[in-house]
Amino acid sequence: MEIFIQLIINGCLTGTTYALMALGLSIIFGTLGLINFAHGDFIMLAMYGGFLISLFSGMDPYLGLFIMLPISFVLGVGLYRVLFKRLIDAPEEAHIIATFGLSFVFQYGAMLLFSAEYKSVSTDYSADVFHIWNQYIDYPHIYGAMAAVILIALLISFLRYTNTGRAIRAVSEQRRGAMMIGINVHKIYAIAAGIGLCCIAVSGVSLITFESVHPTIGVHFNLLCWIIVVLGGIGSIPGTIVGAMIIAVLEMLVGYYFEPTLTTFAYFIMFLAILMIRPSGIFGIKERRA
Amino acid sequence: MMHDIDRNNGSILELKDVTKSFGGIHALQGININIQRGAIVGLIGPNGAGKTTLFNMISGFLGMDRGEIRFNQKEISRLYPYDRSKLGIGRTFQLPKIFNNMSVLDNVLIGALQKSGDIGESKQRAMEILKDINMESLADSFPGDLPIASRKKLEICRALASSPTLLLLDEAISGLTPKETLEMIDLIEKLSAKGITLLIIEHVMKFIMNISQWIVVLNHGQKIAEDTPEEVARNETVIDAYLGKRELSC
Amino acid sequence: MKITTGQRLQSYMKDPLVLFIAVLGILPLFSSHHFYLQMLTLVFLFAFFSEAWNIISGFGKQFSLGHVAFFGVGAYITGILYSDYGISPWIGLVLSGAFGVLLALLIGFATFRLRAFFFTLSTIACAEALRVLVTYWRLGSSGLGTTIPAVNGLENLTFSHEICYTYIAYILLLVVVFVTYRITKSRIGYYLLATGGDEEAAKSLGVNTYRIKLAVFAISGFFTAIGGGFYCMYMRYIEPSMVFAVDFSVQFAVFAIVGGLGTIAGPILGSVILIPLSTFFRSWIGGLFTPIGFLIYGIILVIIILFLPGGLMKGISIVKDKIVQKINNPQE
Repeated sequence: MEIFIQLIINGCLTGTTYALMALGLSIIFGTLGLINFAHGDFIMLAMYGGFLISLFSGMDPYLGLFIMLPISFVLGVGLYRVLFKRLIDAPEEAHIIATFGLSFVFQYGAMLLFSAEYKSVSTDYSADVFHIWNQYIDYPHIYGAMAAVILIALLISFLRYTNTGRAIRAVSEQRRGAMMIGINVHKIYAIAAGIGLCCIAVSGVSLITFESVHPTIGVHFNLLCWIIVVLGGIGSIPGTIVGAMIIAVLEMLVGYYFEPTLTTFAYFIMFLAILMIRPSGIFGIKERRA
Repeated sequence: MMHDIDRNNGSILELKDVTKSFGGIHALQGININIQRGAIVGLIGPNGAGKTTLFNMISGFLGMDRGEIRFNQKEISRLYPYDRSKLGIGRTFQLPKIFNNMSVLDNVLIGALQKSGDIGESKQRAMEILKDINMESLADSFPGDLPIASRKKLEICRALASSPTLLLLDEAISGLTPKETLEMIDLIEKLSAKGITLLIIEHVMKFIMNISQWIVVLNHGQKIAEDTPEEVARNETVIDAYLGKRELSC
Repeated sequence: MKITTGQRLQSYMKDPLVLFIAVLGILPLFSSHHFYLQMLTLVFLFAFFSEAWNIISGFGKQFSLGHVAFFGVGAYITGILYSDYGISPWIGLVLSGAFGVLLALLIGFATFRLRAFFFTLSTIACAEALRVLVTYWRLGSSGLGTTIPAVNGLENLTFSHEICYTYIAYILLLVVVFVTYRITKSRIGYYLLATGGDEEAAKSLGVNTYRIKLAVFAISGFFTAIGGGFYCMYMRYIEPSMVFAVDFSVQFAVFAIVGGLGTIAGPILGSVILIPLSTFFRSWIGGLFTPIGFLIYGIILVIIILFLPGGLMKGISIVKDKIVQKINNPQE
């Protein structure tokens, strides 16, 4: 029983990080309508970013966020200007292929730069654990969850209380309507892309403190994020958070009670099951299947 | 409600208490409509009244929360769009949905294939339909760069090839020049002469009032009037709906 | 008006595609150099895979980015049945095809009524899931990789001379090209194009798009799985991270996209150009090429989708139109 509780706690802590990266995907998909299959590779790059910062400056990766966040935002805006802008009016299959191509560029680019080896970061607190009620929780996961919670809270209040945030929500609900009331959609798209990449930057930095990175890890994260978003219900923030928790806990349980390598298989079965039973996700609005 | 003259023909389509809401907003509320066989019926109403939603329900692209749709006395509301098409319901779309990856002739062929699996035979039939509408010169061209009027006509040809008995036209006239409008009126009258029942959504009032024998008016998801064009034009509720709350048009 | 077989043959002969494929068929006879034949085998084999991918993803616009799932399933079924149980690879190939169909139906059943990208996503998920499942399953027995024993003979699908493999790959290509051709000339083919063009419009004309997609995906999965089985007998070694690698899915797609999506000649053209190019680079720059090569594939994908969505075939037809125009109006 104690182990079970431990697994649940760890699952929820990892889940918050997953929630943050899935929200990054969700905001880009929801606002721009862009189907981004390179999302996982952005996370991979962010992890390498955290790795490089700690390698060269010896700083804690979290401190590196002060450099990485502005870079990520600018990168997001730049990617929108150069690539996404051309894609969003194209048919869905063009998004899929182009972003998949982008994913390949990132993967093999990373392979050339960093080789295929696993890289990890060790921090002062890497080995520390927090002891409470017979449970041991390691600090990297706790800090990761704290960072994610802070950013998710910031994101939600930004979307709710600022004009730009409200404009993003308006655009994601109805693009044509938003254009009519005078919202500059291209500016909003660029900002949304920037914010999406900022979410990725924070989750990538958190991940590098407790997981090692290699060039093809993005495939896994890409799948993970999409499954979370579909599970929670496309376009629903609470859905995404709940979905992330479910997936992370599932990952812990399957990993412990069955076999760690089989977690991907468990996702796939779960994903097919969601699609067959409730394709609109837990919090999604039901659409007619036809 | 119904005209006695029309009752002799019987109704081809009956909607009973059709209701649909999207996340708390009533898109359609308790709609009852009878469409008489062989009639030209106009479906009008301000933007957001639920006209296209109703079309999507009749053709099977949207499910409904409550109600019944009967086509030739048969309850069809649980059938898929392709099965409804096979029963004889054809439609066009507000923004024409043309297969840009196929020639004009092949576009029409897709409709024609429903009746016969033989490619050669169906191609001939598709060509005849194109000739009938004076589009045969475009048969081999690709529809990507066609002007809007030709796209709309092509969409009608394509639906026509699937031999519908009820054809739903979503904005047949909007965006056409006066000359093209006249051609389209000709086409619609030709279709009606073939015995096809037509249900038409249209914003161009002059056109729809002239061509329809019966008008149904929707506003905010409710049917607010149903009558002959002359009566509808005099109806206070309808005038209020159009003049009282002017909405932005897309 | 019934068309006789003779007339049909005559009309085939006039097609430049037939000429192109016939020329490819003579190429292996020009040299018996092992390296040359090996390259041709790969050209034919990848043209075959790309062609099979193109049926569902090019004509039907349902993008599978996990076609390697079929490939891997085929390779493992054929390979393991032969190496562990001594069952003839011919039977293995048949079973591979059957499993390919089953897998396609499973994915299609879950996703084809939903938005198109759910399909793409589940193909990727399926390929990844199978990779980890097979890795897990094979860990216990003979380690990770499996070497296929070589006993020459037709019944073992094992030959001493490379040219036998080259021509088997060529025949596979011919079969898939012929099947694709017959599909495009049939009602299913037209319906498939319509489904790819605009699914709602197709439904409104009475096309059961769900069934069309399922049928065509099953055909595509069938061929890819059989090809996977053959690939395993050709390479004589299989390993989960190899035969379930995302790289293969990308290559199938890249060749078709570069050549021309939704055309029969496109995948062949793409593979005829890109395979020799990458072979040349690999022998020239050495092992370093592999990452750069895939990096370049990625860039090609993005560029073609943005600037020449029709691929080389579209480019060729534009040039052809211009020339025809020049000939017709020489003064301009």
